[in-house]
Amino acid sequence: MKDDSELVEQIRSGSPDDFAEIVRRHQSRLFAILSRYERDAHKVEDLAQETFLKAWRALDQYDARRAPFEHWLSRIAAHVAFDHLRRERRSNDEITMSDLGESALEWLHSENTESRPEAADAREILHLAMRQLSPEETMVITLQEIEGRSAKEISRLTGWSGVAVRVRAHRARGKLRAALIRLEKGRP
Amino acid sequence: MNEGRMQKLFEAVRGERAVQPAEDFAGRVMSAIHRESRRAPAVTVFDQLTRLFPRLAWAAALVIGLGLATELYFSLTGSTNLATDVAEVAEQWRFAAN
Repeated sequence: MKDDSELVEQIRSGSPDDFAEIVRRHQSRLFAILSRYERDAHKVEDLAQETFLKAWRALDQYDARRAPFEHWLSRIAAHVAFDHLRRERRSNDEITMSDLGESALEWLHSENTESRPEAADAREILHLAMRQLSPEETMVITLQEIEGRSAKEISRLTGWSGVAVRVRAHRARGKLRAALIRLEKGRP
Repeated sequence: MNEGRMQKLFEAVRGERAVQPAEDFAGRVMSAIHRESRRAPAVTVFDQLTRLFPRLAWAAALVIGLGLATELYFSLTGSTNLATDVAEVAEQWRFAAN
């Protein structure tokens, strides 16, 4: 089986349909990444398609000596996700406490500090709290806390300096905690 | 909301099942690529300038270099230089206008 860089070479030398194999190889990982930024399945698919189209257009710029293909693709996905966050912030869709499901509200107001929320409830709560964060802050929290990436990896993916990543992560955590405290008290 | 509770939220989200690609997702991407390839690409002036960039930059540098070399040559040989010529032309034009 050919590796990614060999496939890319083949595509560049006039075999465009081989790009379908690249898509098949990386689609699941890409969907997993983009699902962190968007809950709607159709929108996740649109974002994944946008990522692959951008990769296709920039394929001539890919240099296998500098990074594995999946790192290069992840960087494109991170930029697509960031643009998506910015577009979402510009839209006027207001999310309020009433959008939270009953079980999510129950966990928020529960006295039991040891209980773990259901994944969907946690997602709803974080999504609502992150509305208070800038796209940069949402991005850094998602990459660091949810995807479990290091500051160095975040820097590589976003193009931000290491210092900028650490400062944004620190500020974002503070703002997120404040937003979650407001939610606990019943004020979004 | 203490640190532990916030961590529980993150952990729970980490365990959430991601959206799965549709079976024909790769086919859809390829259709989009073929559609795009059929469309004529819009070429802007900036695109053309970008394409010509290294050559234009060298040509501009060459013209500037030639100008400077000419000026230096005339200055060193004691003949009239560009600055004096320009000043003379300006003077003549000013008096002619008056």
